[in-house]
Amino acid sequence: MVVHELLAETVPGYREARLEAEATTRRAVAEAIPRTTPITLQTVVHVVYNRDEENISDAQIESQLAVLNRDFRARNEDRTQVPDVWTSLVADPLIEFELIETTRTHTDERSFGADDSVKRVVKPHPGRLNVWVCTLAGGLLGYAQFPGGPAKTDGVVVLNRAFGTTGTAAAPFDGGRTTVHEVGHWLGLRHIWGDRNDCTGDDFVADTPRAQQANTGRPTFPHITCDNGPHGDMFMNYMDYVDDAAMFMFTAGQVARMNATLEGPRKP
Amino acid sequence: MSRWWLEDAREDELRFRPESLPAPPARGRRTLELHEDGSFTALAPGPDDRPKQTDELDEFYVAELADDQLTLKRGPRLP
Repeated sequence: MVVHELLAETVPGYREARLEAEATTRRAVAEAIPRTTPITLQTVVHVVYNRDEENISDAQIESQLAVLNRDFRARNEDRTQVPDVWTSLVADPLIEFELIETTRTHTDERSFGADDSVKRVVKPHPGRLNVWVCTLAGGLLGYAQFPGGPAKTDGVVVLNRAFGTTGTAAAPFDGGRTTVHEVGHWLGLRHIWGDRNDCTGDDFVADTPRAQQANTGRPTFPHITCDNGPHGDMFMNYMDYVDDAAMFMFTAGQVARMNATLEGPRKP
Repeated sequence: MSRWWLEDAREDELRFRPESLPAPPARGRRTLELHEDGSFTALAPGPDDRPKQTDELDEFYVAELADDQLTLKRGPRLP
C-alpha cells in the first residue's frame, strides 16, 4: 500500500486536511495579489547516515542551499535555454531559503524506503522546511509530502548522492534539482504531465501544456505528445523527470500556486 | 514477496534486477513486487514521487526468473 493511501486510512482527518489544503490553495490562486517581496523559508537539514561518506559535508549542504536560492529566484543561468516560445512564462517564485540548523544522526539502517521511516529516526522541526538527506533504496532520488499532511512527517527526503552539487553528488543528478523538484511538491506543485499517462492528467496549472507522460534524460525540443504541437511538452520544467542539466524553469502559473500554498496551508 | 528494479526497457521486454543489487539512481524508475504465487505488482512514481501501484505493466507476464534477473514480456497473463 502506498503511503498516501495508508495515511488516508490510518491518520484521522488526513483526507479532509488534504482536500481542504487543495481548496484553500485554489481559492488563493484565484484571489491572490502577486507577492512582490521575497519570502524566506527557514530550513533544517537532517543528515542520516550509516557509512561515514554518507555524512555529507557542510559544503555539500551549502551547495544545495545555493541552488535553492538561485532557482527559486529564477537566477539560474541555464534559464536562457528555455525555448523562445516559453521565455515569457519563466517566473521568479520570490522564495529564499535560510539554513537555520543541520542535524547529523548515525543509523544502523543501510538504506530507507519511501515509507517515512527516516523521519522516525529524526523528528521534523515544526514550522520549518525539513529536508532529510539519506540513502534511499531502489535508486529512488527523493519524495515529498504535499501540504495538508501530518506534521510529524512533513518535509522532503532526498538521496544523499542527489543532494547539492559537490561531495557525494553524482551525475546526472548533481545539479541540486532533485531538492528543487521535491520542494516544488512541498509547495503544492504536481508533475507536469498530471500523473496520468493517457493525456488526461492535470497539474492544476493553466500555463503548462498537457503532456502524455514523464520525460527523462535530456530530450530534444520539441517533444510532441497529446496533440500539444507545435511546441510539445514543457520538459525543461522543474516538475518533469529530466536530468538536472535539462530542467530550468517554473512558470507564472506554478509560481501562483506555490504562493497560494504559502498564503494558505503553509502560511508561516 | 521480493522487490525488483527496472534496469532495461524495450517495447516488448523489460528486464529487472533484484533489490539486493544496488540500483543506480534514476528519476522515475519503475519497480516491481513479485509475489510468492508468481503474480506481480508494478510500481511507478506517484504524484509525490513515492512508488505507487500502476497498471502500466498489465499487458506483460513473467517470462524468465533467475536469482539475479527477472524478465517480463508483452503478452497475456495466465488466467
